[in-house]
Amino acid sequence: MSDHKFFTKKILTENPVLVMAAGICPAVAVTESADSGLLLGCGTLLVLLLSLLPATLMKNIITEKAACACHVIIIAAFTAVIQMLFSSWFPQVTEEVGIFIPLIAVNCIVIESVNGFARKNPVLPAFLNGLGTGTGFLLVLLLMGGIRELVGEGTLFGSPLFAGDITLLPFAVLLPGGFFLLSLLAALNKHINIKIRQKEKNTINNDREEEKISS
Amino acid sequence: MKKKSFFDKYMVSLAVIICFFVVSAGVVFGTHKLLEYAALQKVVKEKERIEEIICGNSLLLLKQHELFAENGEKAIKAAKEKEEQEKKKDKEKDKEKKDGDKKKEDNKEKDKDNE
Repeated sequence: MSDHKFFTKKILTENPVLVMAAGICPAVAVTESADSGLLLGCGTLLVLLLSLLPATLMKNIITEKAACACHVIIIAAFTAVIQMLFSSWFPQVTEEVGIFIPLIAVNCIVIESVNGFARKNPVLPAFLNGLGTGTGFLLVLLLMGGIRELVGEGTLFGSPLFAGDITLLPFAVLLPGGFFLLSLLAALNKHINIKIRQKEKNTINNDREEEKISS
Repeated sequence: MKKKSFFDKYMVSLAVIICFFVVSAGVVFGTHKLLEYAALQKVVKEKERIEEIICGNSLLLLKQHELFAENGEKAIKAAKEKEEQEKKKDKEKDKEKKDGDKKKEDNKEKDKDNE
């Protein structure tokens, strides 16, 4: 598999939230507004990338028995760093996101990428896989936050888009609305994935037929 | 064969974990101190800015005060001059009045003498 596919497949075909159903809790609880979704997504992506660097570069130093503990320590340290940075740079949004920033340390997406994939793969694929996973998570959070805020409150990133206080569907901001939107996005993602697979199959079949004709 | 003790078995792993723990704690502590320093610098800069504004305002007030004092002195001088001029005018008027009275008395005396 070419290296860039490690990145692209994590955004659509193996999206951590929509396909693997990982990190649903923050995806539904935090995405009441686009800015909180963006902040948590960026936080997760940064923690993931920062943790991947020492985890992959010091793969030979870290023994098999100590790997899990070391990775958890690295992730926890970077989560604390990111939390401190975010609370000094964006205090209001960090307060809105609340406990979900420290909970990045136990996010299964991060732990799987650092402790699972990065331990068994070389540096570049591991880094691209982490980048793809984080970006996929960030995109889903941003999309969900944007749609829920727009539909539920008629605003985007806090600024009103419609004249007057128009709210299309206040239900969208509530938790059931989050689950409903998540399922819709998952269904849409599956539909796109099926189309992509069909296209790939067709191209493979066409190639085979061309080979047969030429032979 | 001698059985390995717990320490022998896990020594390297423990050492690695402790190393990572110490380094991670250092990173977190360092970031905390750095942010604290940045916040302190921000406060100091804000304080300096406020002090500059206060100093500027004080200087302006002082200049204003000096101007008021100068204007006050000028006004006092002008008032004194006006008062002196008025006094002079009053004196002149008194003189003229006295001269007029004298003339009238002289005329009366002359009339009496003529009679």
